[in-house]
Amino acid sequence: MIVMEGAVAPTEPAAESFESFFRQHFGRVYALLYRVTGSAEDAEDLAQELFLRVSRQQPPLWESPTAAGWLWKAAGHMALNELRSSRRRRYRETRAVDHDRPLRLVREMLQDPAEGAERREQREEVRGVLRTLRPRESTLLLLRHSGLSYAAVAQALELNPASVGKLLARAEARFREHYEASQRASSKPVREGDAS
Amino acid sequence: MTTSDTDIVREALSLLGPSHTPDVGPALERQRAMQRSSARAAGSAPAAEFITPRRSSMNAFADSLSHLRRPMLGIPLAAALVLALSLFASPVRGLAAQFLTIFRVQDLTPVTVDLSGQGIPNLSQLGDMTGQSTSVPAYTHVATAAAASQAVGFTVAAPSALPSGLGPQPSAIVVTQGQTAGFTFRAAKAKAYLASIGQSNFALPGKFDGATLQLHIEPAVLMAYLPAGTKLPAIPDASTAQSGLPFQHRASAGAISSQAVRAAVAPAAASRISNTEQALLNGGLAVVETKSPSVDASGVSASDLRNFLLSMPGLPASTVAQLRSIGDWQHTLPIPVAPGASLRKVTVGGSPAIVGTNMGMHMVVWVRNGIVYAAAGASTSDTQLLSLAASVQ
Repeated sequence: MIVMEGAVAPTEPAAESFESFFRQHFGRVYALLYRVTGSAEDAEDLAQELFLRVSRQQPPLWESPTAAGWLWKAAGHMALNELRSSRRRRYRETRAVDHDRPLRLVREMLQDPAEGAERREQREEVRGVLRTLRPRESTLLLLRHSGLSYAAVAQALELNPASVGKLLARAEARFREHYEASQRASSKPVREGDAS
Repeated sequence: MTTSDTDIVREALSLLGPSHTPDVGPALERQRAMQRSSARAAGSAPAAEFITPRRSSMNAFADSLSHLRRPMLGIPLAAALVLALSLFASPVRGLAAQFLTIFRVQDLTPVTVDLSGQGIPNLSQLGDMTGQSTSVPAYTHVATAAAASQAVGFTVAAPSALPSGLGPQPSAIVVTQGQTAGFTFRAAKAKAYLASIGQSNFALPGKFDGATLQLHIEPAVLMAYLPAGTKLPAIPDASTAQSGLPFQHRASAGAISSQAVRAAVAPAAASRISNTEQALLNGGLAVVETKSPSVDASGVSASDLRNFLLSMPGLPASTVAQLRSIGDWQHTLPIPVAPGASLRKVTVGGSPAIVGTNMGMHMVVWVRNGIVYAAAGASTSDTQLLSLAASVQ
C-alpha cells in the first residue's frame, strides 16, 4: 500500500474496475457539484468531465488505493471554481443547439412556479455565504456535508486528520455568522432559537 | 434551546442538494461514449480545415459540445417548439413596425445536426443578443383547457385518443408566456471571432453591420398526461390565471420566513419532483400547442441572411446541405434531430407532420392553421402518437 508522506491512509479499498469506481462515487460527486451549480445538467456535465479525467490517468488511477482522495480533491477544486465563477453560465449561453433544453423546461415547469422562485432565492443566499468564506472553509463544508468522513475529507484536502474536526468547527461557526448576517440583511427572520 | 453550528450548516446546505441523483447506469453509458469520443479525438489528426494546429476557442467549443451527447433521460415533451428558445432566450422590447416577417411555420422537416464534430457557430459571437438569458420562460399552472385557451390566445384542443393507462384529463396544464428576443449584427465582433478561429478571410458582409433580427416565441400550452395515481404538486396559480392575470407569481408577495421556506422546500418537494419525473418516464406523455414562432428582420433581406448563415465556417456540411434543400424555407421549420433519429414526414388529417424517434424519445409534430402541435412520450409508439394527433380537434 502506498501512503504519501503527510497524507492519510486511504479510506476506501481500490476499485476493481473503472465501472465500480464510477458507480461508487458518481452519485456523491454529482450531488456536490449540484450544490454549487444548482443545475442538474451542469452538475452532470462536470461530474462526467471529472470521471473522464480519471479515466485518462495512466497507469489507471482507479486501481490505486489513493484514487478516491485524488477524485475528491479534484471535485473539491471544481466545486470551488464553480462557486466562485460564472464560467459555467457563460458556457451554457454559447451552446448553439442544446438538445436537452426542452427536457429541462418541462421538468421545471411541472413544479409550482412560486415555490421554485422561493427555493432559488434561498439557494442563492446559501451559495452567496459560501462564496464569502475562505476557499478552504467552503470546500471543507461542502465535502463534509456531501457525506465524506473526516478521514476522507482530510485525504482530499491534504489535512492532518486530527485537525479536521477543529477546522470544520471553525468553518461552521463562520458560516453561521455570515448566514445569519445575510438573513438579517434581507430582512428575513433569523431562525427560532437564536433570537434569545 | 440553541441550535448547533453544525445543524445550521447542514440545514442550509441541504437546501442546495439535488432532489434526486441521476441513474448511474445511463450516466456510465454516457461516460463511456465520452471516453470513446475523447480517444478518437486524441488518436486521429483533425480532419476539418477549420481547426487550427494550436487549440483555438473553436476547438475547445467543439470539445464541450461533444459532451452534450448524453443519452436521453427519457422525459417526454415536444422538443421542436421549445427548441427554438435555445437559439434566443432574451426578451426585448418590440420594434415590430419596422420589421419584415421573414419566417413563419407552415411546414416541418427534420434536419440532422451532428454535434460530435466541429463547433457550431453561434449568433452571440457575431453580434449582440439583447437582454439576459433565462433558462425557463415565465409560466404558470392553470386548471382547465379553457383557462389555457384564454392565456395563449387560441382554442386549445385536447386529444381524445390516449394510450391506455392515461387520461382522459391532463394531470397538469402549464402555460408559458410569449417572448421576443433580439439580435444585432456587429461587424467588429464578428471579425474578431472569425480571426480567432483562423478564418480571417471570411468576412461579415458590410450591410450586415447593425442589421437586426427578432424572434417571437408565442405563448404555449403544455399538457402533461401521467399514469393514473401520479401525485402532482398542487396547482396554486389556477385562480390567478382565470382572473386574467396569468403570469403574476406570488413569490414577491412580501418577505418569506425561513421557517416557511424550509417547510416548503424540505423532503416533500423533493419527492414530488422525483415522482413527476418517474411518472413521465413510465408511460406519461406531453402535448404542446403554440402559435407559430416567427422571425422578423430589418436592414438585411431574408435571402441574404440565409446565404450568409449557411456559409458560416463550422457548420457541418451535411446540415448545410439539408437546410439548402428545403424548398419553402421561409415557412418550413427545421426540426433539429440527432444522428440516428428516425423521424419521417407524414400527414395528420391532411396537415404536414413528422413522426418518429429522436434521441430515444417518440414524438409527433404537426402544423394546422398556423398552430404548431406536438406530442411526445418516452414509451409511446408512432401508431399511438399518430392516433392521438388525429384526435386533437
